[in-house]
Amino acid sequence: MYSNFVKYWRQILWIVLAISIAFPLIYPLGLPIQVSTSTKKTYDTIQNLPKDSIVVLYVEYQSGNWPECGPIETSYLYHLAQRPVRIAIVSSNTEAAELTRTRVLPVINWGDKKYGIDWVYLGYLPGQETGMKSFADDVWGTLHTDFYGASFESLPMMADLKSAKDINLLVYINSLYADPAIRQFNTPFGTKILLGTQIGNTITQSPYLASGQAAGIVLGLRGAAEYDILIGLKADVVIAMDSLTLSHIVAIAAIVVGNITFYYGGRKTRK
Amino acid sequence: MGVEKLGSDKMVDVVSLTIVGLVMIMIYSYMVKDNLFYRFAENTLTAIAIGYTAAYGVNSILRLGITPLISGNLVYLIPVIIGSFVFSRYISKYSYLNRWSLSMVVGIGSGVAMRTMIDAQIVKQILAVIQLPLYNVSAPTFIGNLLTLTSVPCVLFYFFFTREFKHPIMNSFRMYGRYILMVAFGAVFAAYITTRLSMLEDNFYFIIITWIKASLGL
Repeated sequence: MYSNFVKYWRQILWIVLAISIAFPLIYPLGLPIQVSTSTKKTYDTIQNLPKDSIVVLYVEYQSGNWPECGPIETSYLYHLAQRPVRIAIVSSNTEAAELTRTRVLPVINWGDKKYGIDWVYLGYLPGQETGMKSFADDVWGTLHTDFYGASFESLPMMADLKSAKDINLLVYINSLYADPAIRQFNTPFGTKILLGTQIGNTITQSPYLASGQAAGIVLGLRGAAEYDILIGLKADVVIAMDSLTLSHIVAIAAIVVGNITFYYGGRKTRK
Repeated sequence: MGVEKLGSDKMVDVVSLTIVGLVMIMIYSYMVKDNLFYRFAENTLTAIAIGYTAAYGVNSILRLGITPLISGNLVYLIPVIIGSFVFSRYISKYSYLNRWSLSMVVGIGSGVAMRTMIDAQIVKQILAVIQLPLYNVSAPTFIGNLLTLTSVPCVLFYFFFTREFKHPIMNSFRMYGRYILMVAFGAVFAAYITTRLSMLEDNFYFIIITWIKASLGL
């Protein structure tokens, strides 16, 4: 039996993992979710924004990071759309720009917000960090029109957005590094920044929260679920947390079983 | 996740969802063994990503470069010409011009990043560590701050390779730093496992909830 287990351990692990993820999706368990301090801090930052503040949502992730970055972006934008603030959305990645346009913007409830007055979609900004610096220094000189080709003169909101000095809050959704936003917005201009990233980047980006360079951070699918609870959005990410919890239990059990098997297999070899 | 809602043209949505679901299953067929379906799905994904990038790239050049140039802003002639040098690599006689463009991109990018790197990623991080309070804080915060204050110098000390430290106390600092590094790498690994599990969960959600249930009207 042991030799069969060793021979087919990958298949066994995959089947157990698949069941642990699929079962809660069919029969939700309703496990409680505790909101973390960092997510609450992020929520409070947006809640306390003054009226008519200008918020720039800057997205930079790839399609492979959509499972985590997509819900974070949706949650942020959903909350911002509820607040009396003005929003500009820009992306420095082509895939993020397309995903934002086709999968995020259509599901946002804009309420009384009017395009051009309360929110604008600026589209893709090439150049990565260089483009970001140019945008921070001179928005009008960098992007002359919005994504749909309308000139900035025809968009009333853009009259008040000329550089990073006019930005009250930058929400930076990224899949790898928060460094460009910190370097180009927070350090030279003192812009308040909220981060959103995959949970795998916790170690590299949490120090910015500790140092005060970032005002808040939403980490991964779990962070998006916590944020959805705070903004009162009954979204599917909350249901997905049951799957994530069970799959983590399977992963921990696999690590324990793997170590026991390794030790047992080593003893058997030594005998 | 959760954003695919069946629109008014249900048949079109069902067909598109089915295509996406089948492509997902083709990708996962790699778990059995490398096969033609997996390769087809992989190449299709790569082609679509490149196609989108190319389309957005062309649109950017037109929107940000050519349009201002045509409207009379002649200064844009400089970046448009330098940018076009990238394609000189296809003409062997002038392929050296490609290096000019790339060197400008790399040089400007490095300069832009480095101008605030010292302050943003070194000075402010050091200040944040040395300003951690050890009094008038709760017990968990005190333990966390003490751990940070002791760990950071020891980890930095671990990377002193210019001379050998034989003193047992110095060596113990290095060993402590090494263990902290191991804990940190373990935490990074665990975080990446979480990320991958989230991606797997998203695929399962699409297949079970969005594709099958929505298509069957459940």
